[in-house]
Amino acid sequence: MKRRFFIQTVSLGSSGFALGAAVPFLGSNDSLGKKVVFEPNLLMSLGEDGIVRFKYTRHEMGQGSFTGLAMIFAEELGADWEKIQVSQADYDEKYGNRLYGNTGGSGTVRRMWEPLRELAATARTMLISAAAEKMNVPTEECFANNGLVIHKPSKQRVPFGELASLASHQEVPKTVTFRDVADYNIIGTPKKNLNQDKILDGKLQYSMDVVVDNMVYACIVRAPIMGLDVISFNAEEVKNIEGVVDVLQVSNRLKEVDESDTKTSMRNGVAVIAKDTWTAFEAAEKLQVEWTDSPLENGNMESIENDLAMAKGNSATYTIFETGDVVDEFKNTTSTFSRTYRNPFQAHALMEPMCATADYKKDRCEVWSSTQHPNRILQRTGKVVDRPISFFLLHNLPCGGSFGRRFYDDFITEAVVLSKMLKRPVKVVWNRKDEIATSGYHALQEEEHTVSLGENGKILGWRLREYMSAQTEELQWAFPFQIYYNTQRLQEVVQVPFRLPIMAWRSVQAHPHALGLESFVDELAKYLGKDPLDYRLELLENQIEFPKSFGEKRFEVNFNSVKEILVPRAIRVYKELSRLRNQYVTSNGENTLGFAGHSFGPTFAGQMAEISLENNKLQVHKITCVVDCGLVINPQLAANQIEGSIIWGLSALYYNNITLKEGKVEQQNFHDYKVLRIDKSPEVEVIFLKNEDAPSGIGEPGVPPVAPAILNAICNATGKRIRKLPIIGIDNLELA
Amino acid sequence: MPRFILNINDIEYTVEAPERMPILWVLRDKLNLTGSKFGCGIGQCGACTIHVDGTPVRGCCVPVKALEGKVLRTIEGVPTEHPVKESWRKLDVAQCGYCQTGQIMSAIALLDRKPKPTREEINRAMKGNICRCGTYKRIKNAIKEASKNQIA
Repeated sequence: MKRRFFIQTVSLGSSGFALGAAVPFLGSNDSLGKKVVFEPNLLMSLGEDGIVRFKYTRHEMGQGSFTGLAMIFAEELGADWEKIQVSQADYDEKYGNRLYGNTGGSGTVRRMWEPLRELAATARTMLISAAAEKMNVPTEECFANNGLVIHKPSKQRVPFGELASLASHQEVPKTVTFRDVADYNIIGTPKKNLNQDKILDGKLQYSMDVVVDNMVYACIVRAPIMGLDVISFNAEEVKNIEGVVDVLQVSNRLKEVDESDTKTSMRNGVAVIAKDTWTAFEAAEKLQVEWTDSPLENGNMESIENDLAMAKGNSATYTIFETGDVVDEFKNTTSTFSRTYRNPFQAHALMEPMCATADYKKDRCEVWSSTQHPNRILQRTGKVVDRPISFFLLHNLPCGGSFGRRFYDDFITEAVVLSKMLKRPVKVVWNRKDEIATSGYHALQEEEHTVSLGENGKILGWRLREYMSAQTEELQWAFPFQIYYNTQRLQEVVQVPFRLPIMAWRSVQAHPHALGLESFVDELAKYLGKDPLDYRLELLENQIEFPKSFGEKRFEVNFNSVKEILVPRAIRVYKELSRLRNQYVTSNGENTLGFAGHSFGPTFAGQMAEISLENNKLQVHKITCVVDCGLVINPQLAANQIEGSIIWGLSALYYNNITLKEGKVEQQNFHDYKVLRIDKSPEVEVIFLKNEDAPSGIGEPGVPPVAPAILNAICNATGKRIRKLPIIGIDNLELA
Repeated sequence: MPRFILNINDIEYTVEAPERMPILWVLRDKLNLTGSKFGCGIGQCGACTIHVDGTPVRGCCVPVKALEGKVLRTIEGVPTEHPVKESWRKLDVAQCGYCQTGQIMSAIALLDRKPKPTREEINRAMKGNICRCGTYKRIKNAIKEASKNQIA
């Protein structure tokens, strides 16, 4: 692969970034009382003890970027990995969006790759100047590695710690040169998850573990349907329960505001405040709330089916893109092939239910919680209590899983509002049923693919109609790239008025999209009498000119990146899958195979599922995932992400299904919202294709191919096609 | 409020708590032993797993009243160098880590009972512990690894 960024010299003046974030100064004390002598930017300090203290400015939720970002920084600095100490930075606007933006879209490493290396290279350049001054040698003859600056000709070496003071007097460089990948000794090695030891001893502090002096605990009974309001509740009866401190109504004051960007995701409700969590939970069970009525014209699954059926006849609400006149093409051809695929509503079911503690005082509100998007959350929370972001001091603690859920402000807003009312610290703890039944959900969505076919099965036009909730439009940043451009294409959205709140969910729009596209391509190949895996390569290798512009310009699609990065990656991945298939067949593998692949951002992942179906009992024996994600920062933690993504995808394929009755979610806990357990977890193998391009994300790309790969395998084994998630009856599979 | 004397990790604690309060919340809210986690409250996810007289139980479902005179062990009472923690560390099992203290308590109880568990025995013993990060493959391998090391 071409080296796009190595041995690259960056002018810092042009971005103004490293200089802006550079604050060289001498002799302060950090929070540990350790004398800091070199603090070249907002994220790093170096003391005379030689310890490099690095601040993590994102949210760690198990994806490993707490370790990964430190590795990138340490590598570019030329530091000794054993002398890096990483700590979580509280949220502060001074970091700006580039350093402390949101954590999501599998983008933390991708988005921090450049800024971290700019900052680290700047600091390294200053350390080298300091060493050259100290040794009285030219800077050009020195380099930094493993925590030392080394003078090449004389082999003299100075440890970073001895340079701390002198480095702070060096001029900030105007340009810096990045280290060559050939010299990397941290990136690409399997460094341990830096939180691992604390986790194993039960010492990692999550939001749930926060204790603040004088704190009380809150359990909130929330509106069972978003938008309902409280009419009355049995306050006195509940207040009399031993251990209950208060019973308070909490209301979403912003319900009139309809701009999506300022809307809080908080529901109206009644909070039971108690002296401990369990008493709050128990007392909340005794609470009887009368809610306002809601018109529930689509509150049941039957009405949702009706709405979807009606929508089939509707014209598009908007076009995502359009190249050529696909609809005209349909009128002129007699042969079309069309199939529709369904993704249901799904909950997050993260292990640690949401939790936030707030201490609201006159001049400042301190918050302990876990959030993927501190800036947006504080903006929204701030609107509710009429305070700016700077009013809040947010300690962003690692969480017990998020998967998109902690992008939203509701649980933090609740804690802030309650603490303001009670004038004391309040910890809001969500019960499991709160998390399953009164949350936001991955959207129910249908994907309808239609192609018109000419001679020899040539595709003349390809239309994708997506039937989805209006709120899904908020997630347009996550609409996946199209990779098959063999023909004119039209992709359009028909909005359906589902009332359930929609939230991001691991792999977001790529999940329904891959289910549709990768099942459809398989079906189409079979219809045309072709091998599905070969057919994908045929489509990818025979693309027409990529469109320069398309339909309404409401979606940013960078076709250059699709053409130059994604398509070559997809081809490499499918070729590797072909090789694996040949190997499997040659070795007389007994199981049935199925394949699928999909992009998430610039990462492409393809999977080979090995299944068997004896007496309709589905067994997934093994999933092999081939990934091209550019440079792999930490092969160990990256493999963990793919392994976990496959388990996530299997839960969605086998079980995840949120249903409604009279507008309310019917599921409550893990007994009726099932997730995959260890006994159904298959063997997993992860193969990273070697690629030295910039790292492109690893947290989500493993999810989307799981369902279609297995559904394709089921079809290969039985001839029967399942087009709806979840499948019904793993041990006695229901085949339509 | 009733008072209870509890033996947790070889330390004697006296706590005041409602007698129906599950031991999980006594540990977490009364004793600040927060290594045992809350996940579901109905014994479905295993994040709160502790040992009572060596048997794994779901702390969210056992009232404090039932535990007087018993020997309780939580993750805080398992030494850092325990072979199960060592194998977890070696295979870098944990992602978010929230369920892992419960996973480890279930795994220790299994290996105490069956030092060389079969695949089916591992599945049966660990089926009550959910991991949403999906670390099951590494959990299985770490148990096999610990099984080897415990014997050696």
